[in-house]
Amino acid sequence: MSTHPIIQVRDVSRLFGAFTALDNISVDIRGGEFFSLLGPSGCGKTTLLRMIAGFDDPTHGDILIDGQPMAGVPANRRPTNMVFQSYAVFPHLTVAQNVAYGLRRQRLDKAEKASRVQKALEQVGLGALGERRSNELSGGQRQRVALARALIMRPKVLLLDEPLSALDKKLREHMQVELRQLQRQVGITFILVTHDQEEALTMSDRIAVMFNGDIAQCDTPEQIYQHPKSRAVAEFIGGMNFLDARMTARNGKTVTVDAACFGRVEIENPHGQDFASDITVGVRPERLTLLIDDNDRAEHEMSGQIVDASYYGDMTYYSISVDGRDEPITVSMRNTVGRRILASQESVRIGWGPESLVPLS
Amino acid sequence: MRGFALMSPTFFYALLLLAVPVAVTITFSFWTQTYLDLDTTFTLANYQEVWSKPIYRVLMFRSLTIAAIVTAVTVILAYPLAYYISFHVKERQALWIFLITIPFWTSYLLRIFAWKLILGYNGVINSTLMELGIIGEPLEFILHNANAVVMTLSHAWLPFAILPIFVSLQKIDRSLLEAANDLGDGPVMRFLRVTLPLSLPGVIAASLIVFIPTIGDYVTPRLVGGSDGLMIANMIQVQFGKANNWPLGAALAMTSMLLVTAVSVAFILVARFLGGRVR
Amino acid sequence: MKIKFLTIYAVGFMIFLYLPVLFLPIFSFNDSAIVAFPLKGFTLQWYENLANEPGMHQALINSLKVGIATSVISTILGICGARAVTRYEFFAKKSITSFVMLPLVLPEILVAISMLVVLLQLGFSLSLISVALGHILMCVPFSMAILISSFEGFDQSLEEASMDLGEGPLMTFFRVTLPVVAPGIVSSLLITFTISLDEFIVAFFLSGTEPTLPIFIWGQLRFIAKLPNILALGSLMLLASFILLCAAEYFRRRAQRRTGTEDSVI
Ligand SMILES: Nc1ncnc2c1ncn2[C@@H]1O[C@H](COP(=O)(O)OP(=O)(O)OP(=O)(O)O)[C@@H](O)[C@H]1O
Ligand SMILES: [Mg+2]
Repeated sequence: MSTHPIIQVRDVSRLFGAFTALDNISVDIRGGEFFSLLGPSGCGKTTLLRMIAGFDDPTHGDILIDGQPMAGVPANRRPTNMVFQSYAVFPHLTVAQNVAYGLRRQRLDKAEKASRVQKALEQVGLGALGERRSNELSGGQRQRVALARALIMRPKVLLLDEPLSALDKKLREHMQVELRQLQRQVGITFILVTHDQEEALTMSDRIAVMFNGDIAQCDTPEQIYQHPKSRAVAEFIGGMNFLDARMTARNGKTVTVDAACFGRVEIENPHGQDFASDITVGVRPERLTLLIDDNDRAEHEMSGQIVDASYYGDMTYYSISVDGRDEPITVSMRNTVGRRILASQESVRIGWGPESLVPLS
Repeated sequence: MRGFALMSPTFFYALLLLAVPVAVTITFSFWTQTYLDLDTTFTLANYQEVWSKPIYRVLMFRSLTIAAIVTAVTVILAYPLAYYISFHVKERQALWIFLITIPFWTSYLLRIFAWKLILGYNGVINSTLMELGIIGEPLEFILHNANAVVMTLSHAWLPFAILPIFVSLQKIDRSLLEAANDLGDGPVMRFLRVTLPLSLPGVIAASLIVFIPTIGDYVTPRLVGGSDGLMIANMIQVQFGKANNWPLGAALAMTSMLLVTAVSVAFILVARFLGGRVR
Repeated sequence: MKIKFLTIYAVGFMIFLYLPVLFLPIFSFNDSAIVAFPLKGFTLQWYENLANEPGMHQALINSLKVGIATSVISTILGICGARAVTRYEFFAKKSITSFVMLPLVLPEILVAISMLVVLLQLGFSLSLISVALGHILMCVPFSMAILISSFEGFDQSLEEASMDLGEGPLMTFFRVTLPVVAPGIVSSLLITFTISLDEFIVAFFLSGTEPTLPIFIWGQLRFIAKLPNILALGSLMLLASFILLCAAEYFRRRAQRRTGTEDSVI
């Protein structure tokens, strides 16, 4: 994986009348990476993707692909290809004709063309369906046609706009794995638009989390999950307990906070962010442990009483009321062999360490 | 801007061959003509003649009445069928609609002509009845009068009336009907309080689609109307033909269009008002 | 109970709708010069007479000329209009569209006399061209209606996909847009041709000395002796319309399948 940015988005804004769909966005996407744009509906993901593809132009700012400014370059001249959300499989052509569509300009001879089409079809597992028409395909198959049709062009960047959202859960999970493998295999940069956080976490090398036309955080999945910069990012991805706290000191890559039931702690500030003195501290439910055995010990402990238990099969989420805080705290626990589900009203001890706490803006 | 450019051939065609001609015809109606000489001084003489001569008033009034009756008959006959296709036909809706639209595209002249065969002195009805011995002499009252015109026109316009009503019925969200049931309405009340008001736009559209062109119908009165079934279009044609008084013909056409517009607007307002009253 | 009543009504309605027209073919095979029951016997005589009617041949040729010109030009105008309406926003879109669709509801006689006045004022003589001009005006709304419904189902991302795969706007139009909407276009051609073939009033006012088929029929109605021939000719025209309409319907459905709007009925 090279570190040379294949796509540079520089101070890009897009206004629709008075409405700002994208607000001064900058991001670099590296060659060969699997990059995801993640965010709630209407945050501007599709808008950004379409500007990269060339279907729309920034109101301000530039987009560079492989170092070349793209202003004024139409979609058909860009080294990008797109897998459309609706798949846009041409209804008047067969599967093979669809896949061959973009090869016309390359003036290949017939045999060469046929073999490339066949190879592309096999790559997506549609080797036998070349003669079918699009109305004879299932949703998942259409998606593969759209994929093969784009990949055969050997683009520098493949753009995918919520390609899996129309599929059922099983097939979606299957395609997630398949897409990821395909990307590794062909080595092309993928930019995936999704509003599904799990999809983004499992598939991507890096994720840009977007809200209201702005990129809130752009990082690896682990960083996004473990060290969200803001409460909004943390809330969008996974569950988290939020505590109002006071910041008493800031010291390079650490801050010292005074947080209700946790007392005064020095915690990591890996992004080196500035905070106001009224700070929010976040704790992931799985970063707290329930000390069930009497001789279980942790770096820090506090006691509480179980209010409610939600059973999820592999995990159980407990709501626990603790001293110094009105709302209960959520703690999750893996249901390993022999571990019983605790009942309401039981008293428990909660173990934690400084690395459980994340400062949020 | 690209949209307008793309639209412009179609738009300018209609402008040049519809709006301009109609404007010229309106201008014409303020001129006068004696034989071949056209006098282009502005005058209301034609309109005065249209409004003062009983023959024109009679024709005008008869055309309006016939058109109104035809409209009422077609809409009332069409509604149940549109309702049937929309609510009770499950699989072959497209086929039904296609069957209904076939007559609508086929030759108007031939359809009217067929009625002449049916209603004629020696026509299908008379010959059948005589053959069966029910009558001894051919019935004369069935052809060459206003009733025959109403009958024939209603038949001709039926398919036209069904489509708009059907479309408006199709648009009704079926869960609204279930909601009405759920809230205690029986089938009749539900129809009156939900289905009918929601299909009102279709009924209005159907009425106008039938009413407006019917006023200007020429073929039917000529073929089955006799002399007391003639309508205003026949007189307009006479002015453009034998009488060779184009300005008067234009004034007749414009007056009838004005009347049609007035009646249509009044009809829309009344229908909306009544529609709004159903609760 | 209620459903049953409606079913009976619907069947009766369809019989009433078709029966009058069916008398034309029935009597066209009847071996008698007068149209009356009982039927006398089967004959093809009236059809044979038709074949020897020179006026009819000329009228047929005239009708075909007008019909072809009308269907091609009104469909081209319809394509422009439908594309503009379904793809773009522009100034006064609604008013312009309603205006173009206006001939759908105007009394035909108004269209006919207005064009008559203008054409003669401008010094044109009446001919098949004037008839075609009138027919085009009347057919554009129908063509637009058919094409709008065919273009509406057209997913814009198909064109974007084509651009994305390297084709420019022109090739995209020929490789994607046109083939996908082709059935709708064929349907429009057939329908407008049928309308033109059967249209009477505008042709009546604007045809001058060159009759189209309906005008020819109108002229023959005066002669009682010609009645059976008219029945034969009328039956043939009904058959032609019927075949054209079935073809149009076939293509319309195909258009819908292409654009994936299968369940819409109209
Ligand atoms: N052509 C347009 N005209 C006006 N507003 C637009 C246009 N296209 C997008 N928008 C607005 O810009 C915002 C961002 O749209 P965009 O399609 O990028 O959202 P998205 O993040 O892809 O959402 P989703 O997940 O629902 O697809 C939305 O609020 C949308 O309403
Ligand atoms: Mg989107």
